[in-house]
Amino acid sequence: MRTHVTLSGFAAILLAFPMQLTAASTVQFDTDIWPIFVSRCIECHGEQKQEGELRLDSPEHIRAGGQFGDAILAGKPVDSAIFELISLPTDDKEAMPGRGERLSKSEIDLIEKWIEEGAAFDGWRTDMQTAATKAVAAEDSATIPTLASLPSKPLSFNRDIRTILSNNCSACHGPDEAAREAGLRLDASEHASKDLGGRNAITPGSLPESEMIRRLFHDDPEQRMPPVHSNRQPSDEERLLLAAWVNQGAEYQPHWAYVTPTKEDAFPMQGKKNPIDELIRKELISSGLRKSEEADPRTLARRLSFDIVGLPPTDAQVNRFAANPSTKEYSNLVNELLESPHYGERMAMHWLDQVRYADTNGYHSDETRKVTAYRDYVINAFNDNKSYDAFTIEQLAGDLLPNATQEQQIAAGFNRMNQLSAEGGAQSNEYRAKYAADRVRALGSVWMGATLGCAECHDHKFDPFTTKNFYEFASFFADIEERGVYSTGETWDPIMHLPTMSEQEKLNQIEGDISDLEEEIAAKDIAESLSKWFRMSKFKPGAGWHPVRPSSITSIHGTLFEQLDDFSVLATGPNPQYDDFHTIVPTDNREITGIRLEIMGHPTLRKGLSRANGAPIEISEFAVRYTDSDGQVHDVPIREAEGDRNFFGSKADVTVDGKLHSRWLIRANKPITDKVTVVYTLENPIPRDTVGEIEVILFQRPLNKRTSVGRYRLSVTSDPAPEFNTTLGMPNPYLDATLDDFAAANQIADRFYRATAKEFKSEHSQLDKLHLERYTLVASLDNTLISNSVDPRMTRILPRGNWMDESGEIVKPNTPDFLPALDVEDRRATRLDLAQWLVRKDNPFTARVFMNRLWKLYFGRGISSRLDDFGAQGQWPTHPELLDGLALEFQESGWDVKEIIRLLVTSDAYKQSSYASEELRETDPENLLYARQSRLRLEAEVIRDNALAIGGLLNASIGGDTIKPYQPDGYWRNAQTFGGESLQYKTSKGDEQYRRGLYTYWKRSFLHPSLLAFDAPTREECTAERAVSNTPTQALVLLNDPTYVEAARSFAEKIIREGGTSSDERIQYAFNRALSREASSDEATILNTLYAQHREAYGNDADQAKDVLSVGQSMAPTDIEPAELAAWTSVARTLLNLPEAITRF
Amino acid sequence: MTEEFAHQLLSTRRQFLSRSAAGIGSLALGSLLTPNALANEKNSIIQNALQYAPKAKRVIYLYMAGGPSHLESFDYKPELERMDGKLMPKSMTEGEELAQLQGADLWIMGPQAKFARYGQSQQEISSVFPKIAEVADDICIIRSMKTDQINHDPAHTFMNTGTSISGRPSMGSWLTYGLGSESENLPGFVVLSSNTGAVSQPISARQWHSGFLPSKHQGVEFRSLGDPVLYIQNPDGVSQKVQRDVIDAVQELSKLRNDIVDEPEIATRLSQYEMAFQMQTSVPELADFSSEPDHILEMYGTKGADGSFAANCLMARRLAERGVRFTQIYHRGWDHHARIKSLMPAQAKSVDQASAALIKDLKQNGMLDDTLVIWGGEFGRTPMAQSDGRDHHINGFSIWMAGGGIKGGITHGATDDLGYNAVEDVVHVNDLHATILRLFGLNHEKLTYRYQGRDFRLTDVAGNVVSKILA
Repeated sequence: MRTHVTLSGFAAILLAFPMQLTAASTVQFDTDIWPIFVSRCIECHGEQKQEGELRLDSPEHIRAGGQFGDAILAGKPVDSAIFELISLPTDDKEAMPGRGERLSKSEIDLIEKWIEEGAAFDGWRTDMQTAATKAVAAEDSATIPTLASLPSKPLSFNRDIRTILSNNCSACHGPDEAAREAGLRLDASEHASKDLGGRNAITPGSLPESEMIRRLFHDDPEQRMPPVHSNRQPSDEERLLLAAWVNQGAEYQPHWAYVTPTKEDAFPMQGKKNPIDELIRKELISSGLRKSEEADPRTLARRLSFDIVGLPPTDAQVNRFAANPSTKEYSNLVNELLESPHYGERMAMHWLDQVRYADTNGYHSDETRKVTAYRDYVINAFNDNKSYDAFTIEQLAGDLLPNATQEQQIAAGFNRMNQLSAEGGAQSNEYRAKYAADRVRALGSVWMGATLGCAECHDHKFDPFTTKNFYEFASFFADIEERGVYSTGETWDPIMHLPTMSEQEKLNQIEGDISDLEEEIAAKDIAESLSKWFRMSKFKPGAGWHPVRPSSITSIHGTLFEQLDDFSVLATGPNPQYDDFHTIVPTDNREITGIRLEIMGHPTLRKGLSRANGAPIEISEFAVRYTDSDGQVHDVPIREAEGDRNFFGSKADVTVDGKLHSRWLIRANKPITDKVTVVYTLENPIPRDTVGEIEVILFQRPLNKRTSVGRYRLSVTSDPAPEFNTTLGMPNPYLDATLDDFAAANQIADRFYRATAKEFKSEHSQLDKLHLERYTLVASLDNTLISNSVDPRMTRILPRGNWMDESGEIVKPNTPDFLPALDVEDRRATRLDLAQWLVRKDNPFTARVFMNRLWKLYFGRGISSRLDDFGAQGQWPTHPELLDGLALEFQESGWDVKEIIRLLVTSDAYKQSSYASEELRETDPENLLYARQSRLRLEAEVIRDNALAIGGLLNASIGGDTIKPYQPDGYWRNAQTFGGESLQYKTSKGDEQYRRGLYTYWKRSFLHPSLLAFDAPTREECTAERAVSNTPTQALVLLNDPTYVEAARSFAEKIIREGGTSSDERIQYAFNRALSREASSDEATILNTLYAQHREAYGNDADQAKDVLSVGQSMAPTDIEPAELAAWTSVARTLLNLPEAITRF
Repeated sequence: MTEEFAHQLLSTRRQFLSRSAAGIGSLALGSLLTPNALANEKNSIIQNALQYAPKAKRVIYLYMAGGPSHLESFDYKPELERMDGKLMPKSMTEGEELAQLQGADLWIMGPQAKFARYGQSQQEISSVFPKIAEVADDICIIRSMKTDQINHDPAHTFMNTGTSISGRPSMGSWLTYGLGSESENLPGFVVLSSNTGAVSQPISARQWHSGFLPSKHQGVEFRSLGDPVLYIQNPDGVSQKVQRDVIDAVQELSKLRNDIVDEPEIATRLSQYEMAFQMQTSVPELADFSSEPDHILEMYGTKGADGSFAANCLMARRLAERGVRFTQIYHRGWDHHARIKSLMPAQAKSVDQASAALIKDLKQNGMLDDTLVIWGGEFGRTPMAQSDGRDHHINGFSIWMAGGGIKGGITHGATDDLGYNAVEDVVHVNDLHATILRLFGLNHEKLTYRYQGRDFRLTDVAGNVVSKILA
């Protein structure tokens, strides 16, 4: 941006004249005013541009004015357009000068004074105009490159230009309207060629007439683009490319990733031995390179095994293929590996990174949230070779499929993989906004290769996604039932229970017994006992507690209520953060001296008395008021509150202390049968003549949200001195003489009797037992988070992502305009529509994104090297026609994943040696042309699996629960849970310890340190590509983590038992087992020496030997001499620590 | 690692690689499997970002997790005292985000501690910090902090990474990414957490994660229980000699293999084994305080590396001496929703002496000039009572900084009369980050990392250097 301090040439000389304003002097046009015009106005209001039809380069023109009318009105600064416009605040669009900084205060003052004094043109000479015009021209000079200096090759926008524009220009001249400078967009032809007041950014074919070029090559560094202060500076070469492109006609192309791949552009995949090789060969030849030799058979077998199943090959596999390395044997090996159930595990590892699978909720206390059934679904889906379109649809919308199977519902658990909060004080709406944004980012990351996250707050800076698109995507997921904030220790509803067959049978049996008992109670003839009970009670004196049946119950935050037969009230429906319960009790025409509150358990409350799972109830205040016969409302003072229990040192009397912030905490851990009673003695009785109603209010303002009372019952007494007791008296309808409908009252009494009478005591206690049994069984069932579709919540655009701002537009599910349209007519689109849209043939993303990631698994880098961003800031694919060819082939094969993998790994390109000659390293350091294979460090989980497999410890069972490998003590010390989950790390015992790494308990806030060391992501966010680092911590893990020491000892045992008798034989055996190859004699010597030294050292120190053999849970054999086993353990540790052992060559 | 050290390493160890002297030197602290082009790009970014004369060489960040109350520590509000027990003016809190007090009546609670003025600078400090008051002239109190996040977890994430979205690098990672480590046998970014005894809010390892930066920039936790660094100790039955032999055998075998496969990553990995071995020696030495004179131990108030805050402060000084770039000590337990009057002094006592001792000790060693000490939590607490405590509060809170180019003996910024809103010289978390980077000579807008197509910064899209507090 240009500023007035950077004047050059003529203008600066003019400015050098003294320019002081004193009260005595009058303003002189030639020395005071003209320099300002020259330096700040004439560039746009001179002979060349005449913006606003105004010229300020001569007295005639100044007097003539422009579009705005009179530029100056002598003597009247306020009515002069010039003065008005230079006085506007800088952020006003009309403010002048239109570019650069505002005029200084003294300059504005000068102009004002000059107009005030009559706007005379003292000292004007006509040559001043000519000089000014020249000066302006000189100031605006750019050294535009000669055509001869431009690159002559034909340029393609997508290949050569897009990234340069995107990296250097788009932040200010891109799609984001809010950040746009000078109203200029350079990301599409129609914008770039727009007339911007006499100038175009781009005039195709003409460099001098393209302002973009002039500014790119401007002589004045202050005028040159991009601005000096920005981080963006294109190289000279890039500037010349832009010029050449403008010169060649500045043809734009739509971004490749947003265009549906077509047969015309794609490399044909049919009718060839291996189309991949044909294309890669073609590219290599044109670069003067040749592909590398095929790797030796042992390396190949090893590569295939790590790539397809994530485990080292068996000796048999290696030997078989090494003996006969034919194409046929090769493809046999490929098929064998693809059919292995470990293939699904290996594919799942990557998928779980992408969908951010984890075993904990992420935020704050980061507790267990069970979704292992989803992980099994993913493993099975790959093993069964489920078509990728079905795989997509089931995860996004399995629950919406007609007659959704259990498997499909589990799959839709994908929508629940986001982090969840149960932090006290968290605001529901804030977290709903976080979850919504999380899901959009996941959608973009997993299926679209698009970084949609940016658009949460502003239009995407580089890609055409707008903020509106972001929230439209979000609204697809607005139907997912969830809470903004969960309570600690409760389930992360909705969940689905996953009983085994026998558990289901047991459950059916319990439920059958419950309904049998309930029927039995209902069927029993009680006419006689009821009438007896009625007579007995009636003749009892009025004292005692009489349960009341409320005439209505309301809440202030949405809790609903169900009245039960025993006159208790069960809270149901929504469970808001906090709620007050207003209970209306009918008067019973007697004086009321006390009110009793019973807080009771219930089968639906699962654990304890509050609606939260196990968290205590917190009652702030208990208040009573009534309406007298005059309609006057009276608050009833309470003299005393007496509860039958105190908790955490809090007593019932804080519920009548008039303070909402003091709370009586009530906890019970006996589900269902527990009961807490409190008696409130009124200061003065509520008089007998009360009409209308008595209102009892339970104020609940808990610290732990959603801990409202689950079930309660009110009773009243007229006893002059209400006693604390828990007996149940006659219910009030029978005592209410005014009740007209005796039949109804009889019915109520009948049900009350059956629900409470001693006569049914054994049935009730049996029922309680059954409910408890049922509860315990259900709680022990495996479960998984699922998607449950409810009425969609309203989705608004949140201005700048601010969840408290409710001014944004309301949006509906939709896909962006620049992509193929949804086909839903007028109906609201659903997740199912979205999923089906993703797998439509004309969707440009899904197939390409997945093919690119698959390619990366087998070749080390994507065809487009940015796996997570296909957008303008991504990398142009090295072989776009191959990517498109694969995408189309994938679609045509019916989204057959195994088929494509077979195609990839049977190519010659895949089979090449990974050796990089000097020449290859020079000419193609990043291996963009695939003249060799890549070398890949194994992933974190596979490094562990590999060691366990070599050591013979690996438990190969597939699927199921998580495991907890050895972990340093106290690693969770800074973690904290609030829901009773133990922070004790319970290391898996027995065989479980040795299951594959992908089953590791994935605690987001404290991921297992060995996994973390080898770059496993925490999965708080979606990860398409793991970093690959090389750190000292990795060395420490392989050297010292008990997992690796134990694996080495177990490996040592195998060496001794299976490796022959001489140490030479044993070393060959060990090398083969660990590295699938023979040891050279030099290598063997090194290990022989190590063995011999350590055999001696451990022989001299039996304790040390015993210690090293005792690492890990598995027992060391007793029939091998400890020093011998310890020495071989050193050899085994050495092998497991070799870079070669953790690298796929 | 310096070039010199790399050579030394090569000559003292068996000469395992013939072709990689330079390679080891430049890759010593870990490398990504990335082509050199990227390394060059990184260098140019950092050259570009280094725009000022650096004042600080290292940071010791005393992180008071849980949200210490500014109203009982560094921000005295007489008006609050006067209004004690009255209702909070509605105009102040309406439409504001509250945590646990959402929907409750808002009663004002006066300061629960006495304040006095200390030092030549007459800084106003609460009586719960008598020792910190002794270094009043060395510290700069910022009373006008503001953050965006009101719950612990996102607020920690915001304070450490400049955004509440998980997965971004923490400030220690940014600093070591920008400036590397000066230590040859210790990580550049070390995290300590002190034993608090009481049940406290959790701290996630996310807070020192390197996010999308290479994982070598991740904070390494030095622990007070078990091994000081995870996996630092040899396995049972493995002597230092046995361990050395295994590492030597790994190196010799790898050298032979490398003659055939010619893989640069192997050289890097072997140098990492060396570094690991060095750490195995240097870390136990670090945790051994026996070389510290008694009066130093007494000054901090510790007897040895027992995981107390005091011990960790002394450890931080030892780390600083050994070239560690960024040390962060987490001290939890400041979440005073209740009983603030009794809990605040108790909690303050657990950090007061050692915080002050650290300043004094650094000063007497001449290290305070280039060591930036920061003391503060993720947010403050409400002027409104929550029972007899205070709720989380984000619109105004206090921290202090000292050394490393910070002007001592000044109070910067102010909250309003009730300590609710920062109103004068507001310092947002992003501003704090910009200022920290500036003290290291870095322009926060230029220290970037390209990820998912975007140039990310510690300061996200905001941040202004607080130049008034620069010495």
